[in-house]
This record gives sequence, structure tokens and C-alpha cells, in this order.
Amino acid sequence: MRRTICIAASAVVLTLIAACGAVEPKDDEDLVVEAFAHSGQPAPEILIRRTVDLSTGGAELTAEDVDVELSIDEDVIPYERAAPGRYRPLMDAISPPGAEVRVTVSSAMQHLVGTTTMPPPIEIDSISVVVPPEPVEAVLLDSLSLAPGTSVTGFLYMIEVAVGWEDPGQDGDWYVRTQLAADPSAAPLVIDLFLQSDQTLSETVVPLSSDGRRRWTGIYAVRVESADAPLPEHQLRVSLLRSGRDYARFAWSRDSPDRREPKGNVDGGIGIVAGISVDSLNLTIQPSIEP
Amino acid sequence: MIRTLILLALLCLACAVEARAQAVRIDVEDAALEEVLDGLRFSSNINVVFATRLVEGLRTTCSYSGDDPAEALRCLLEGTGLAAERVRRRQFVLRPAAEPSSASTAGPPETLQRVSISGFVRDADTGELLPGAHVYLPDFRVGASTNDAGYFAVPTLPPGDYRVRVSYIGYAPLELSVSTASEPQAFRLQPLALRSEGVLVEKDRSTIEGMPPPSGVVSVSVRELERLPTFPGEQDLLHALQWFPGVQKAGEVNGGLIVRGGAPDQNLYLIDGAPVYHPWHAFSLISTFQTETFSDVKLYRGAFPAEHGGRISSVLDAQLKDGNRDGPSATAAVGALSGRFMIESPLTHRSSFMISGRRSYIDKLIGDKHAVEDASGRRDTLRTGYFFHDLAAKVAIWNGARHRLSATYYRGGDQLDVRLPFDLSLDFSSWLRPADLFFEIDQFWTNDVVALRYQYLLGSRFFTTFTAYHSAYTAREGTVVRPSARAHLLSDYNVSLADLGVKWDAEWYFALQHELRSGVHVVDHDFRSEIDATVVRSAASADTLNEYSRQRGVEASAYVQHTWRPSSRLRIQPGVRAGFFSGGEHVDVSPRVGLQYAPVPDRIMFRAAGGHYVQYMHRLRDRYSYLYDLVSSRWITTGENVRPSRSRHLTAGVEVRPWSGITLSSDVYQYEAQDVLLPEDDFQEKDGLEGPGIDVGAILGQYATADARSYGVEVDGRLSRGRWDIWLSYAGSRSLTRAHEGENGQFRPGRFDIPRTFRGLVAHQWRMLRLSLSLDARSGYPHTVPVARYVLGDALDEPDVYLYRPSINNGRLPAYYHIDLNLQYNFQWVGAEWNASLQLFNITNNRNVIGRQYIPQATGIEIRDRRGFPLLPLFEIEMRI
Repeated sequence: MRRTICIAASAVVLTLIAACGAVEPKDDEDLVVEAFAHSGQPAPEILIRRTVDLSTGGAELTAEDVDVELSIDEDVIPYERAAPGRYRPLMDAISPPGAEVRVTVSSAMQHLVGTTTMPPPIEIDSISVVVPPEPVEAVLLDSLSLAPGTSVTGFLYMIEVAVGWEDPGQDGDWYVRTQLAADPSAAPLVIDLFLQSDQTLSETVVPLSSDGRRRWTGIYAVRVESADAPLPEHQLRVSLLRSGRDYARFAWSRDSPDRREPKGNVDGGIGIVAGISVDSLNLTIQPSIEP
Repeated sequence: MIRTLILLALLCLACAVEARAQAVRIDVEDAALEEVLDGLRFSSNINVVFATRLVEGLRTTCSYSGDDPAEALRCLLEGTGLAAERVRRRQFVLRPAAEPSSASTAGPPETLQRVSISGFVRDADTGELLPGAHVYLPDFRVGASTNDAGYFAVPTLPPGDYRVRVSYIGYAPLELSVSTASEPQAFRLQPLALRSEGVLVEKDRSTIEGMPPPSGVVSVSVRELERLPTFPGEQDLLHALQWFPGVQKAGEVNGGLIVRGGAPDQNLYLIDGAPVYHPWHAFSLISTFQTETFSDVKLYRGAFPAEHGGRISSVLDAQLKDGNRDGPSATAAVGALSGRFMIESPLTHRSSFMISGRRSYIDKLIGDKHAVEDASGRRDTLRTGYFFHDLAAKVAIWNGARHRLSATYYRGGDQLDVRLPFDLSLDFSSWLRPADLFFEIDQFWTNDVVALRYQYLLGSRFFTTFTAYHSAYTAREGTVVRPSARAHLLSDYNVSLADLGVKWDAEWYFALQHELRSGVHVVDHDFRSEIDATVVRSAASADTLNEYSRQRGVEASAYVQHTWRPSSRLRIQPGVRAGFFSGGEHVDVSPRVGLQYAPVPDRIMFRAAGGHYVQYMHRLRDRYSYLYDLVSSRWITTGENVRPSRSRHLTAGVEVRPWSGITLSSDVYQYEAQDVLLPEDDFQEKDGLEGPGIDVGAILGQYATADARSYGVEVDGRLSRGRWDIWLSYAGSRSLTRAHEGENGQFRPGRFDIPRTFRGLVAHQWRMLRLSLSLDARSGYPHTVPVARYVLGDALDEPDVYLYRPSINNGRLPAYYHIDLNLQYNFQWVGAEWNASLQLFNITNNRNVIGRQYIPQATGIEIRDRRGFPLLPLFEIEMRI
């Protein structure tokens, strides 16, 4: 009898303390919209994907049976499927600065709408690169993970790049994204806090020179093997992008896929619809040679 | 509020039904008066108190039928030379008639002399005052509880001798005959030998004559709390309180205290009336409250009475010991983390003191500065310093029974001083070399409390307390990081919170059934923070951050609280608290009510409480920058753009003592709060150097106003029989939040939503050895589980794989539990009493999941778990002389 009572009591206790944390898997897929309309250029190609169940292999699932259209102010531009998940406009149309662009995606289950305003064009009009004469010793990998052997020090050339462009004036609340993409790149976690190779910020906080030009200075690093190793010749792509607040929120939130998903601006689904203006330059960086 | 009023009305109705008039029928001829009076008590529920010598030999003849007890007694006492004086409804006292003409009347009360039984209840061994002790007059079925100064008064009694029972948890009850007197009397209770008798809960508390604490209140003796197992095997008040349902530490290794679903910053921690802002050490692993240094601890798990305000979830009101009045005593102990001491002694025949201290000693074992040198002779100093400390002191001075002055000082804090090379890996040998690339962290945070308290007893019915205090919290985060030969970071961040407050509380025992308490509290809040930081990325790229933020506000409040005992079975405690805060000029009026009803005295008591609460400050933390708010506790006050948080509590319960040694209780509660602040972005973590800055507006932008709601049921059962003590508790609850914007107006599980909590403790005393086995089990905390993944590109980068998390806190971590084994052995040695304890924490070595991360992969998902403590052997050796 006692044993029965003990077993029953144990069962009750286990039932009480057991916490069911199961999460229902998502049966139906959600549409994912990716549309970047370039200011002053023809209507963009739009990518439509679907979410993939976590238990399913493969990373990408494109959406094939959706209706896509884009409107520039009052003009509606129909789209057609060009390739799996890729939709292209059926007519030529330019998205001028200041125009409102709306992307509509419809399927049997979902209706998605994303809206953006086209920014003024942007153009890099000056670049200066400062290459130090020798590398500096630096931490290359995360030293705070408490895992043996994860701390690695080495030598880096810390290269400064200053980018200048014309200020758009009082025309709107714009954000710029500046990016220094070097190949080969060094992107160690700890040192990354002290680099500045990719930044999205309000254009108004970028230092303004007396001639009305914005000037941003970034730093990227190239790893070398020793303290006396020369800087290897490498390619550097300098990109400058102007867009609105929606894109800025997207850019700020998209760099930690393990922690979060990017903040989009598509009602009824996932994704980003952003009007952008972009300029980029490819440089060859050589030791002791000004580009 | 409407529900509170309805509950109040129902209980009042119950009172009225219970106290309805009964018919009185007397028909005696030449009968012994004493026998007739006893018969009257049972047949007509008329309670007549008298001294036996008064009625010895008296006989009476009377014939009465009606419903007026006074008329019936007038009939009975006619010609006896005695008069019956009405004390309250259907209760009378016999006294000699002053004049023959009035001898046979019940007499108008205003013409009669009224006196009180009053006094202080103390520990017989130490002289320590005992707040919360019960004083009971069984003949009247009335009682009182001692206040924070250990004082009680039962007023408006006719002069005479009365039987009085005094009881307190952990002490032998005292029963004696007491004469009414104008001077307060002293009652000394003998403590039970808990350690040798194996008493976990008071064995003698088999009745509810003193009315147990109201709903939601944890009021236990410190001696009882000291016996509860705590982590990490040392005296820790906040850990001990977690044995009571509804109280939960947020995290195993961090976080504050969660009380019935409220947030950690919604709890008010008081030491001798002064607030403590950050009562934690070691990154919230243990608390600053050492159990043994307190004489009284009350935890209001919500629905607290009008005397307390300023927070919306709970109040912990702890009183430091005055110090032993009868002789010196000392305690010293060494545990797994720290060593501690306490000394208490009389100073003069009118004063005493207590001083206690605690300090961790890991830095003393491994050292805090290490000279290192490499093969080339280059030298460096590595620093690995960390310690926490507490110092509490109190001096009490008294002049007779009517004047008492006490001064309290508490200082506690943590100091972290680390300078390490940039390889904080498990390979310790790599630390011990000079390094060009290093980081230094110099952090400290302290609480400083100074409180002065003067208590004055005017007559026997008016007790007043003046309190003045200064409470400060100071934190500093200094950081030097040099990750490369040409880049560095220098940061100096300071936070200070200072409260300067005065309180006046008064208690007026103006009638046997009525007690009035009122008070005024004014406090000046001064919150400051400042940062001076420089980030040098290269010779040409340097950013500086110099910001200063200061907020001041005056909070003024006043309250009135009435304790009304309309019958021996019912106690009603209505009250109201009015508050004003200068920031935003907010004015709030907060009604409160508490009810206790014992339909079967000594065995069953129902209780309920409710109220409205306001909090004029919030604790926030920057969620972006590594430069500030790493360990600091930063608060902001309400203002034009920040609304105060407001909450409503409603709780009800029942306590039953079916047999001696068994106590069963159950409570239900509901808590709703408006305008609390939640992170605007749940996924945001510190990930950069320069954040938005320390300006209040910048930090507020990271938070969204929200509503919070929690409700639950708590069941608690305790058995204390012979050498066995068993304590089981279960709490079923939900804690939900809803942001004002977004989320479709739906409530979702809050961060610390715990649907089920079960705790059990079984203890057995065998001679000087006490063995206990305890279980702490609960549901896992909510967390956000991805339901799908997708690919999304960018204008400048290649596409990435993301995890789709459409809703926050849609999942739950695995259930959490640990089983602990505790051994305590008491012995005498070299004239001292020793207590050696060994705790095996988590004896099943269950590595609880306390955090979970999902890593998206190209074709799947990787799950990484963060685990809690493994099996840990913990010890403490304590000596008392």
C-alpha cells in the first residue's frame, strides 16, 4: 500500500513539475520579399522566397506561384517570373528620387505590401587611403570564450580609408551605409570592435566639412604573418549607400543571424523593400603606393 | 478595486451574521453567582470576566428574559455589590460597584476609568525586542501583535487582573496574570532550543489565536530562517525566502528576486526603514542580507498595507538586531565563499550594539596581484582581484521604556580589479606572462545606508517613530582595453543613486477594537551617471564620449491605516496612501484593505487583501554598448515622458491547522500592472562600443511601455512531528506581459513566467545531527524558439540564412530541478557551540539548461545550451560563544 502511495505521489509530483515547452512547428511557409530599388534606375528584379521548416533539408525555397507588381507613385508595373524565385518587370520604368515605390506580392494565402521612398543619388567623390608602414600586434580571435586555444594574436595592417560625398542638403531624413570590403579580409571578433569597416548611420551625424561635403573615415585590417611582413596587394571595394530609416533598421539588425532576424518593412510577411542609391569603387591596395 | 470592495462587503456580512443578537433567559433563585455567570457564557454567548475572589460566596436571585445582556447582568448582580462594565459587544468585566446607587448598572463607559495592558516583548536570552509577537487575552478573545519596536497595547480595559498569553514563533509561549498599569511591562520569551530539538516550525503554534499574518505576508522568525538550506551553503536571507511559494530568484547564477510574477526592480528592500537599491553580491549569486544579523524579517508578497509604498510588487522589511542586552556573544563562521562574524553586547545598562561583517576570501587564496616576467626579463603585473564584503553595525540607546534611539550603518559592496592579457582561456599558464595586448577592468559597486531612528511612547496608547536615513548606491566601471598596438579604449563610467529621507510613523491604540496607524514619508532622490570614454582605433580615428546625466525628484507620501477588530474572529485593516512625486508632478491615492476571518478560532482562518500601488522609478540598462551599464544598477525617475508604474493586487487564502504540528495554507492572487517598461527589442544585446549614450532619453528609447499581469495559486503544507520536519509547497502561476504597441494587443509569457514550482524539504534530527533532503523544481523559463528559417539578401552583402521567430517567448526551456543533501552537526568544544554543515548541491548532478541559443546553418539548425551548476560540495563551520 505504501509503495502504491509513493508511486502515485511521485507520478503526481512529476506531472506537476513537468513543463511542456514544445513549440508547434510551422506548417505553412511564409513569403519572404527582397526588393532593392535603385534611385534613378529601372525597376529592380524582385526575389520572392519562402520560409523553410526547420526539419526540412536545404536552405532556400523559392516562391513560384505568386503575383508581383511594383508601383512608382501612381504607375503600376506588372512583374513576371524570370527564374525560380526571381521576378522581373514587364515594362521599363525609372524610379526617380523622391518617388514612392510600393511592392505588392500576393499568393493564395498571403498578401504582402512594402513601401519605400527613393533617396537622392549618391556619389563617392573622394577617397583617401592611409597604409601604415608596418603592421601592429593585435588580438585576432575571441579571447573571451573561455575555450582553450581560442586566443590568437598576430599582426595586422590597420588601413584607414576616408570617403567623401556631397551632402543632400535638407532633403529628407536619410541614412548612409559605408562599407570597406577587403579581400583577404580579417574580421576577428574582439578586434572587430575597434575596426570600422561597415557602418550605418544617420547622414546628419557624419562630419560635414566646410565645403558642404560629408566625410567618413573607416578602418579595416589585413592580417600578415610577422612584424616585418609587407602589406599584401589586395582588392578593396568601397561602397556608399543612401536610403531611409527602414533600410537602416534592416542593416543594423541583420548582422547576427544566430541571435535575431533582420527588421523588415513588409506588411503581412517577411522581407525588405528599400529604395537605395549606391556608389562603389574597386581599388587595388599596394604597399607604399597611393591608390 | 471593485472586486476588493465586493470581498470586503462579503466579509463584513459574515461578521454581521456571526455577531447577531442572541436571546438571554435567566431564571435562578439563590444560586451561586459564579456558576450562573459560567452558565451564562455558554447559554447566551455573553462573556463575563471576573476575578474569582470577587464572586466567592455571592449568591443571586434573578428572572430575566430578553435580548439585552446589560439588563440581564444588572438583574444578576442586583444586591451583590458588583457592577458589570461593558468592554465591547457581549463582553463585560465585573468590578466592585463604586456606589450603592450604581452597583447594579452596567454603567456608561465614559464615566469609568480605562487603562491598558501594554509592554514590550523580548528574547529572554538576549533582550532583543521581538516584533510580530502575539499577545492574547483569552478571556476576551482579543489580542495584539507587537510592532517593529516590539511594543503592544491592549487599551481601554477596566482596571483589574487579566490572563495574558504571549507567543512568538520559535519561543516557548508565556502565560501569566497581568494587572493593568500605566507603565509598559516587559515580557521575556524563552527561545526554544531549535538546534537540539529539531523544530523547524513552531510546535506550539497550534492555534490561530494571534491571527497569523495576512494574506501574502511571510513573517517567520530569523531562527527559523537560519535553519533553511541556502545556496551556496552560507547564511543568505533572500535565498532562504525562496522556500516560500511565490518567491523565486530570477536566475541560478544571476538576476534579482521575482515575487509573484513582479519584476526584480519592483521589490522594495528595507533595512531599518532605509531602502537598499542593489542587494546582491557576486553578480547576483548571493544577497547582501545575512540572515543572522536581523531580529525581524517580513516579506510582503504583494498586497502590502498602506504603511509601505514606493514599489509595486513586494516589500522586504528587515530590522537589524539591537545587540544582546544581557551579555556579550559572538559568532564566527567560514563557508565556501566567505568568512563572517557577528559580535553583540551591552555597552552600558542603557545601550547595546551589534556589529557584523562578511568578506569573500578567494582573492586571499589565489592573490590579487601577480608579478610576471618573461625570458627577456620584461616584467608586468597581472591582477586577478575580486571580493565582496558587508559591514553592518547598530547601536541602540534607551532611557526607560519610553525612549529608544538607534543608529544603523550598513555598507556592502563588490570590488573587481582585473588586468589580464587577451587570452582569458582555461590555459592559465598563458596568463602569467607580460602582455602588450591586455584588458583591465576596475569595477566596484556599493550600498551605503545610515539610518537614525527615535521611538517614543507617549502614555500607553500612542507610539511614534521618527526615522531619518541616507541610502546610497555607487557603482564604477573603469575599463582599459588594448587589442592592438595602436588601438585602445579608455572608459570611466560612474553611477550614483542617493536617497535622503525622513519618516514619521505613529500608532494610536485608541480602543480595544481599533488601532490607527499613520505616517508621513518624504524622500529626495538624486540619481546621477557620468561617462568619460575614448575609443582610439588608429592614430587618425578617435571617438570620445563625455556625458553627464542627473535626475532629481522629491517623493512625498502620507498614509492612514486602521485596524478594526469588530469581533474576536474578524480583523479588517483598511488604509489609504497618498503620494506625490515632483518629477511630472504625479499625485496618486492608493486604497488598501486587508481582512482576516477565523470562523473556527484556533483552527481555520480565511484572509484576503487588495490594494493599489504606485512606483515612481524604473531600473533600466543600456542594451547596446560595452562601455557602460555592464554591472551597474541604473535607475531613472518618472517625468514628463515617463509615467509611473501602477499596479493592483488582490489575494485571498486560507490557513488551516487540523492537528498539532500541521499547518496547511493556500492562497490565490492576481497582480496587474500598467506602464511598466520592457525592452523594445527583445533580441538586442550589447554588441558595440559606442551606444546611444547615457542620456535618459537615449536609454528610454530602448524600452517600451507595457502592461503586466500575473495570477496563481500557492499551496503550502508543513508538518513538524517529533524529530521529523516536512515542508512541501507548490505554486501554479502565470506571468504575462503586453506591450502597448505591437503584438496585436495580446499578452505573452513574461521573461520569468513559471507555470509550476514545487519545493520540498524533509529533515530529520538525530541527536546532534540534522539531515535534510531538499528539492527545488520548476518549469523552465520561457524563451523564443524559431519555427522556420529563410534566406534574405542585402544590397551590399551576400544573402544570409535567418531563423524565423514570429512570436516572443513561444517556447520554454526544459524543466529545472536540483536535489540537495544537507548535513548539520552541532557540538560543544572549548566552551563554544559549533555547527558544522555540509551541503551537496545538486546531488544528481543534473546540468539544468539555463539558456539556449539557436545557430542557423545552411541546411539546418544547431542548438547550443548553457548549463547551470553541477554537483557542488559546500561547507560552513560556525562557532558561537
